Amino acid sequence: MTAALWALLAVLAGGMLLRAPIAFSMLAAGIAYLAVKGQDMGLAAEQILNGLYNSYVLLAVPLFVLAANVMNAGTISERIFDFCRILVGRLPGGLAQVDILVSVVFSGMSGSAIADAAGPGLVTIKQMLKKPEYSPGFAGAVVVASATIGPIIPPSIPMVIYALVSGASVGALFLGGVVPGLLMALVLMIATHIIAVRRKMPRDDRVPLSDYPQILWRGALPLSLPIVLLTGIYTGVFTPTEAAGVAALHALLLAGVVYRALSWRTLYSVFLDSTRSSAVITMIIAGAFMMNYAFTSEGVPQALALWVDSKDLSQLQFLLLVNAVFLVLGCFLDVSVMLLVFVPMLLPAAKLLGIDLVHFGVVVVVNMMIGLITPPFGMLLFVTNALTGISIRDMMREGWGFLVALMLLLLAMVLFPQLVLWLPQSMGYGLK
Amino acid sequence: MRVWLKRGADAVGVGLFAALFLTFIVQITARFVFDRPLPWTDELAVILYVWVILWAAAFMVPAKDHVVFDLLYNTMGPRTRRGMLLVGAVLIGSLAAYAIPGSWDYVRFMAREGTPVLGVPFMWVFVPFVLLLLALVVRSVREVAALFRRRTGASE
Repeated sequence: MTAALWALLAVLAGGMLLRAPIAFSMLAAGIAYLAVKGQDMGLAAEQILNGLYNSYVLLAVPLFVLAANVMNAGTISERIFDFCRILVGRLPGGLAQVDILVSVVFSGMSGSAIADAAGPGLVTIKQMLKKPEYSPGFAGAVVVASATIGPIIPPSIPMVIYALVSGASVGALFLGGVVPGLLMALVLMIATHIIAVRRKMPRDDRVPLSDYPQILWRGALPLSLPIVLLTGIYTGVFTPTEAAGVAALHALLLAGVVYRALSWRTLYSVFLDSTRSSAVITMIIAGAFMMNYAFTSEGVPQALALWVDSKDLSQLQFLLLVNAVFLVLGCFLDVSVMLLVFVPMLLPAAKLLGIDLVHFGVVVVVNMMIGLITPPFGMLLFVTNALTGISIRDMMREGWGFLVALMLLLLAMVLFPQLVLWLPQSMGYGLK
Repeated sequence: MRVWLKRGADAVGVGLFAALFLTFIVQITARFVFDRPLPWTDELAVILYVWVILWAAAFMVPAKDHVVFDLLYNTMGPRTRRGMLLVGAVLIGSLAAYAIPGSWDYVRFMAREGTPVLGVPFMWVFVPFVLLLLALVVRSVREVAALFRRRTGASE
């Protein structure tokens, strides 16, 4: 290791441990690296600015953020909730099942797990807390577990970022997430059913038949978006970035014109929030550009690839190792840091072993979503705790069953790549 | 005065974000409705994007909104916490300050090159990066000052 690399790691670790923003710690670490190496400081500006300017696909991030915020401000979440209620509300533990299904529908429109927990998740938690049979810990646990589906079923912000670092096709990644996302919902619904039957959780109240047409009609409108988006991306009619624009426009028209649930004042604060959160996410990406520049010029990814090669790992051993390491890292690190700093280091090794980059990407993103609900550092736990006051400890005590279910599914995805690759391949991905 | 500056900065950022969104709408409409793709929308969108992100990071994002790692911080007593924040602010602020001259040179150097379609000199596309570094320095200085004030305040 060179002195410059030590300086980088020292500033990075120092800044993070001292509670400085992670984005700026990475930026400062990159500057320290250039300084110790005696390189031109203009390189920092060049790396970050060109990185942002040339990553057209990154533009999808603010637009997906905007779409999710509009949906949450514009009562779209409530309408999806009513829609799902008449579908699965009559099962034991009905509200919990409704929440999972709502997450699936919302996932088809939003690419962020946090938006899922903060929007529809909050709606269902409030409903569950009205009934004594649902403990707050259980309500929180269902919501955080189901929110992890958000970025697996397309669209997906983490997959857009993964596509950027790996060069894999966004369309294929999105398609690759469909089956795993639906399976996540299935295992969570099974786990909920078992718990609900054992604890005799109530079925939801019957919705009068006369309300059906209106609820179905209102719920069907938001449901039209995923269909438009997916068809658009897969037929190549629009790019993922344009799709994000269409999603935001669709949400704005629904909330503003059809439901009339957006005032100008709300709209302004929606834009303000979206601007801020986009900047927070993107600054971490910008900081990671610096990290990756340093790691690449130090040859870290190549060294790692050589190491993996020398160990004679099989594809399966490598994937199991990576997943084990990421599950541990996920307890302590933010998704964007893992995706932008650790994944690029592993990509050369993955390529060397002949692992399909779409399979690798979907597995890694699912793994990181589990990281969002594992303490001590789990953003979904933080957000839900901040919005509802349900303690993280309670959520964990009630939620370990969901965690185990999701981890088993992750293992299945590693063992059977076809779970991920079947859909993209049947639509023409990777055919030569 | 400070409240107005803050609101002004927010309004600029929201305006830029809205312009970015509108550019996309124009692009999509031109392509799918009129079947006449416009050459300049992609480029304008990217320029606005660089501005929105760096502007917002410099002047709009409150400290509490940033992603931080606070596991260690949370286990510490108030004195250590203050010390940690102090060292962190000095670390970020001084390195940002150190990078300003070189970054400004790079940005100014890019004045000679224009964007392909609109011909906007890259200097004007890239200049918010320097603003961000300046803002980081100012923020760190203010945070250090606030931490010192809090100490004297606590001892009273």
